[in-house]
Amino acid sequence: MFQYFKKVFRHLKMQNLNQQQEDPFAERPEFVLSSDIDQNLTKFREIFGGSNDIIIREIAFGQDPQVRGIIMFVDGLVDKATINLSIIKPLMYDLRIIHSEGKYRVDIEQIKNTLLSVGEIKQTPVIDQLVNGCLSGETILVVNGLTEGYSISTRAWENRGVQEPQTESVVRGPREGFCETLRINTSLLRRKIKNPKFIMESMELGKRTKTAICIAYLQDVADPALIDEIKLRLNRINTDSILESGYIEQFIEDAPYSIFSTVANSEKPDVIAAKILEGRAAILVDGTPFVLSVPMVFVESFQTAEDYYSRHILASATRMMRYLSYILTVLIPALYIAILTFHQEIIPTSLMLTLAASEEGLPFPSFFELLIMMLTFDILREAGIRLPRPVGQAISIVGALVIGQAAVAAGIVSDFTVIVIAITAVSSFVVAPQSDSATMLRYIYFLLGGFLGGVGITIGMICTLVHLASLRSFGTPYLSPLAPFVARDQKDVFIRAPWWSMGTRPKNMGVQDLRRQGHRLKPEAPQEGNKS
Amino acid sequence: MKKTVVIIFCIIVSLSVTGCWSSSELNDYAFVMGIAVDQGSEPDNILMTVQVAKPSGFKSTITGGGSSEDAFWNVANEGETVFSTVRGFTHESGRKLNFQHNAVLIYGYDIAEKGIQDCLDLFVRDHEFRASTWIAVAREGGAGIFETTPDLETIPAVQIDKMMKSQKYTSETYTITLLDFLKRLKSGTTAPVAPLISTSGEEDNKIIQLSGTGVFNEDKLVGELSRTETRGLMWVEGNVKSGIIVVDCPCGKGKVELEIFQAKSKVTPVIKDGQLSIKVEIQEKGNLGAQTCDEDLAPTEKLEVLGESQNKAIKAEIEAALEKAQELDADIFGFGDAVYRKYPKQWKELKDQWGEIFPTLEVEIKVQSEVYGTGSITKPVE
Repeated sequence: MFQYFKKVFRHLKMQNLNQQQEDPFAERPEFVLSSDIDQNLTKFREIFGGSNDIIIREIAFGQDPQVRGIIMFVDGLVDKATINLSIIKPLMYDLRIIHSEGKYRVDIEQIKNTLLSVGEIKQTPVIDQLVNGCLSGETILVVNGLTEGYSISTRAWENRGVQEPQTESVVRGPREGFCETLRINTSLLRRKIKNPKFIMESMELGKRTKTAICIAYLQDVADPALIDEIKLRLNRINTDSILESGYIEQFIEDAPYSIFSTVANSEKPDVIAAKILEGRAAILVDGTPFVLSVPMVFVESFQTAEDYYSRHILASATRMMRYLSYILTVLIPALYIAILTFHQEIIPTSLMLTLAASEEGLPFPSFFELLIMMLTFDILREAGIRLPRPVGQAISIVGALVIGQAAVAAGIVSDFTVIVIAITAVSSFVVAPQSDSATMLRYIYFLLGGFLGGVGITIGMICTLVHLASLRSFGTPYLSPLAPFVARDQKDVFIRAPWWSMGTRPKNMGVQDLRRQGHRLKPEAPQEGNKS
Repeated sequence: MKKTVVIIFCIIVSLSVTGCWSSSELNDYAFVMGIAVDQGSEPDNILMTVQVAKPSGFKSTITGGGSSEDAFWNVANEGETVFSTVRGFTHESGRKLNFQHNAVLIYGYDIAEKGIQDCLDLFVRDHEFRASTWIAVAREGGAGIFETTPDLETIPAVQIDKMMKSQKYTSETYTITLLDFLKRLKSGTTAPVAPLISTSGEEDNKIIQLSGTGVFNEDKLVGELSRTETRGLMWVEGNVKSGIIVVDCPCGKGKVELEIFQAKSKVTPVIKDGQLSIKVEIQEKGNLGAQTCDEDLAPTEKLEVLGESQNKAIKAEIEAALEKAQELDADIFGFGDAVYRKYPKQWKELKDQWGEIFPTLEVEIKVQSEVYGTGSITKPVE
């Protein structure tokens, strides 16, 4: 049986390899420009077909002899003023004046150096490179007689601009968020970290979408092995489209079948900058405001940007409350059903009597009662997210009325069930990065608790812990610094130690430069006799 | 593929057959709050009355619906043996009785005199009963206790539970749990004790009362301790948590009430020249709680005088208890166990004669007490 599977698997693998060899989207370096402009023109027309957003303009410039050229760009992706003023005008107008005055002659080969007043120009004979450049917003200039084309950077398109992110809102802290344009996103990061060691390496992924990707990290802090591993995993991606960073997350994550995500994401430049400064690497993807950061550890989900901006005492308390909320949202329905149907003896007598009174006369078993309410809540939540905002509000009002009032009044569910679901629901919003794992765990534990009681919950918890301990994210144990235990890094797990005491970066990611700040930074009262 | 389907099918089937497991709904159970065991109509029979919490009645009281429905339901069943009688309740109750929250176990006076060994085993052996259940003996029938209508609580058994817990403020009733009762029973020489419970008042407006402590010999009720005698017993055991001692004022007119704050005891058996005696040392700290005379008692000398009279009062209580115990030949203090712990070798011989030794046992009582505070004021209110 195993042999058979192995065979099938190997067969599939071979097929994969074969497919990789005949990649229709790979650049063909042998396919170059000819010196005849008409031939080139035909080729480009052939490649672009009849797309009406691609402008191909033939121009003639210079005198004596007159030279022909082609300018190509995608309408809407380019800054037309730059094209008109910095490319077409110098070629067609300035060059003619220079020639007619006859002061000196400009060689055709020197156009790039002397005439094109644009910041970034690439020169290549490969047609595929020119085509790709054109599609990502560059202007292509091909001149008769030259076997190399110019790819002139003129990118400019409509974008949403930097706005406050919808997720991760803060009371105190920067309000800007990433947007859909990669270049703006990198600039937001660069504005936070003004350091030449802050490296942003770019890549292109997706054979059809040609999505620009950027890996950002601190060269002298991040573990070089981590960066190599990220590049390795990114290069493995062989897909035709990357539309969001979620695509990449699923291609590079360590545990694709786990309910826990091993790649973090954020919409806020300050959060990503902080992670980069801790020694992580960020992966920015063009077209989405969600930036990935790896490696991710479990406790990272309980840290928010505001923990670090507000004072440490309340921040620590709030963080512990976040852990509590996670445990509550995962365990409360399960514990409730287990105690109610298996372990009535552990309820205090007076509470038991109240519970029994509220359960009296209900038609459904508590298990189904609770299951119905859990499903109702999740349906309402999903409806609230997907619907247009005004309708969403109506839905939540209906939901609140149905859950909170009618169901109890009609005697379908007990008021305790409503309280339990309400606590579960409210606390499920506290730890947003783990909300998908919390939802899954809640149902799993609920089934275990409902069918097996406390024993089931215990089994579930053991399995969850074992699973969590087995996870790794880019080489970093998922539960670190709790397991393996690193005493020094406990300063940023359950509590958030004051900034002056957080002298070192987290050790678990193998950073090169462990120390992030000096010693003895605790603010002190001025010494007697030492007044300055 | 087939295998996976089979496995998934098995899991689904096994998980959905929950009926065979111990999962059950709250409203499938009748929660027993109290049990009373009385003499049945036949000499060999027992009459068991259980008090079941009635959620529907409870609901109306918590929501204030105004319904005068009782929050409890008393149901009786007669049988030859305990377990069969307990199970026999299914003939009267639609819900299975659940004893996990049972608070009190009351024996009728006549069955207690006959011996309760036969009707104790199940309550210890079965997993649903708690070792922390209160044990009590009813002066009249145990069933009558459950017929009262408590004013503060909704269920008489809950009322008894709270009463037992509040006895520490007077230390005049010896409250005992099933576990402690069993320990005394098992020791062989120590006599079990249990509070006596009765009802008083008019037919429709009866209230529950705790009145003294019953003393058992082995498993048979043989006598009673009064409230002061009970406290005498508790002094020796070091169980006195709080309470009021009333002594005469040093000035000769009026009374002074002292509140017990702290009490410790030490029981030391001594064998000297083959003669066994017991030394009981009591250490107590009290506070001036109230006075009826107008003497200023705050000066240290006065407090010392008060301490002296307090010593006497405590000693008197202990002596009264000792006298009663020796009269009944019931070692309620656990002196036998103390001897066993200190002289295990000699105990082997003493054990069999303990019945003869105890009534004439010499007990030396030493009380050392002090009155160390006068409350919020020093001089009496005039």
